[in-house]
Amino acid sequence: MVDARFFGDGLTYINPSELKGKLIAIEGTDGVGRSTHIELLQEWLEVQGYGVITTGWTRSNLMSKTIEMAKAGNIVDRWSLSLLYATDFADRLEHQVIPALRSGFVVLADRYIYTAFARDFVRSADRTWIRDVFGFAPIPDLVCYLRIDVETLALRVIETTGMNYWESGMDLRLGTDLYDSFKKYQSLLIEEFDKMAIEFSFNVVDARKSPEEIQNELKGHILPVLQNHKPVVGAGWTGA
Amino acid sequence: MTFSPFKSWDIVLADRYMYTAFARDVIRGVSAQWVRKLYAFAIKPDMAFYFKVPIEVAISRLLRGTRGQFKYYEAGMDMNLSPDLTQSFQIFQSRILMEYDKVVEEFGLLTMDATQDIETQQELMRTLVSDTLRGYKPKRGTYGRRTLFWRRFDVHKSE
Repeated sequence: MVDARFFGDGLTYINPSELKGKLIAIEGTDGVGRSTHIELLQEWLEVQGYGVITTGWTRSNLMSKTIEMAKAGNIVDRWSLSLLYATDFADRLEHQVIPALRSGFVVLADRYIYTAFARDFVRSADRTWIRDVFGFAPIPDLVCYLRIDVETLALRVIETTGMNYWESGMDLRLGTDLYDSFKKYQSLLIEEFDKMAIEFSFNVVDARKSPEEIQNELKGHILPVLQNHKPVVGAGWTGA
Repeated sequence: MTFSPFKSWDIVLADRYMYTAFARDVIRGVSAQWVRKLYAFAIKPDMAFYFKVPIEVAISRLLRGTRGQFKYYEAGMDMNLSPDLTQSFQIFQSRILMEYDKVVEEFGLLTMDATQDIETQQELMRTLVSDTLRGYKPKRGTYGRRTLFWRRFDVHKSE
């Protein structure tokens, strides 16, 4: 059964009408400031009385350590990598996102299925399989995409955390060193994100602007979504 | 990771395959279409056997065996079917057997009567496998039994 609130088919035991909360996804490549903005948004929403949870890519109890180990071994292939992400996502969906949406919470997702789509696509040139895999994902009420160009991104990453093996897509052998590979890999990701921005109507926010400007734009996109969504009384768990 | 021996022309014996997921996951509330799409990357086996036993036989074998009891998930205790382990196993595994029947039909698995004694089953399997392997040239590298065909290598953390 394909339900309009789900991306494809998957979990037949969830009744979409029970998901009273709002799901807001913040997408964008590495180093665009997603987590900083999510932290600020959470505070902004909580002050207004909303119950808010955030959920982050590869942060599930079940999978976060496993994914770290797999990436440390450097020999994860396309299927394994995508299935590790999907398992992590499924665990967070069942244990964080769905309970929170049932209780009327606002869920802020730091990356969402589109990250998996982009990463799988640049490794496989096939969009069908990965989209089928994430068929069980609820469609967000809002997707904001923090867009950056690869030149600015490269500078930012060098100035802060530095480039690592996976952020540079070294498994794809796109360049001889981390820097070349990073630029080629991130360009491919941005290109795919741009295509998805049109296909899935993302709200594109220019991540090169100042943090204040970005935050205001994000708030501007979120407000209409919450228009008819009253804060949970006492911001506590009301039970499903 | 089953790929490496497969690509080198070895024979791969798989104890359970994607069909297990097609039966189990669907019983746990996953869409039958979804789970088939999920495993779209799996190589279709040259032969697939389904060892069929009535639920009562499965229960008595597991209770008489060295284990002496059911595991939590094989009894489907996560599904709140019954507080009693044996009863839960019976309900859960009966549903799985029904789902397996559909899978066997859909994918043309070879059904083995697993109530027969081991020798009889082996005889039949060997005949069937030999038929499939006709014309296949055996290849060997070493004659030792390998336990490892790939090795994980560590990378130093940057911290």
